[in-house]
Amino acid sequence: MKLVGITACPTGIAHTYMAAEALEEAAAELGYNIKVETQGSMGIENELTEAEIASADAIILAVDMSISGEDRFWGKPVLKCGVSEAIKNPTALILQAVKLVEKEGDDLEENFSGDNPHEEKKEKKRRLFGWLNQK
Amino acid sequence: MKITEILHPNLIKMTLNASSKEEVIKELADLLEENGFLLNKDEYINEVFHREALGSTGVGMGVAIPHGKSTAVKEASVAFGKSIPGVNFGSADHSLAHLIFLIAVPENSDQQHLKILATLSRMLIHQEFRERLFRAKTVEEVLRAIESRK
Repeated sequence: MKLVGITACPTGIAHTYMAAEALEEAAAELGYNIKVETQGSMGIENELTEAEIASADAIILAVDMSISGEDRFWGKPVLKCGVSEAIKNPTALILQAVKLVEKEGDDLEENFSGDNPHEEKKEKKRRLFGWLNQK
Repeated sequence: MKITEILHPNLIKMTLNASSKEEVIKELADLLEENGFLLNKDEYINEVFHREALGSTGVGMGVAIPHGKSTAVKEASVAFGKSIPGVNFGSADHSLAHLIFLIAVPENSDQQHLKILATLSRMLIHQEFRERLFRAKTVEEVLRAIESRK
């Protein structure tokens, strides 16, 4: 499971960085990979690359203001919340993002029709839940 | 640059007298003013209150970080105060704030100062760091806790 996120708050002095740290710590505890871009008083730091966004399973936007480059995440599962939410409940937020990814997978599965549905389904499950076994 | 250039020992109050959010902000702002970090205390305090009105800076976990960015600030600085009984900052988890950091940032701040403030904010997420600050009995213990975390 690969996650990326952005944190931003109006003054960009404290909450932006607390939220980033909280998300990074919670993700590490759960055994997930996360990279968090901060848009704060020092401008954009730890900027997400195109490749990182492309390979991310879900995006967490913990922002209290409009951010730059939100269109980068078009077509990706995006979880949006206030910046304080990420400080208070980072673990819940990450689990919610994981759920979002699993739900997307289920939707794909429902729409699937192939010659060998059983095998294909197994393959999809393997890909989806592979990260669980990696832990 | 060391963190103590921003969180000066003179800006640490081991026992806050005030018991309300507004009074605590004023008490810590007094420390900033006495040590020459503010150009206009009232204007700075108004900016901090304005920021609080946008959403409480009581982030839960017993921590509050009221802050203001204003032309009334001469130099980036942080005042720290401890309240054993706790102060109601209106945080969403209903916890009282025991560790209060009042941050002052000038309109055009030095990047290095901002970096230190960001580092300090990140430190506060860690429980063992908060516990060390809470247990600290002297200014030196507070500074040691901060230095060891870097």
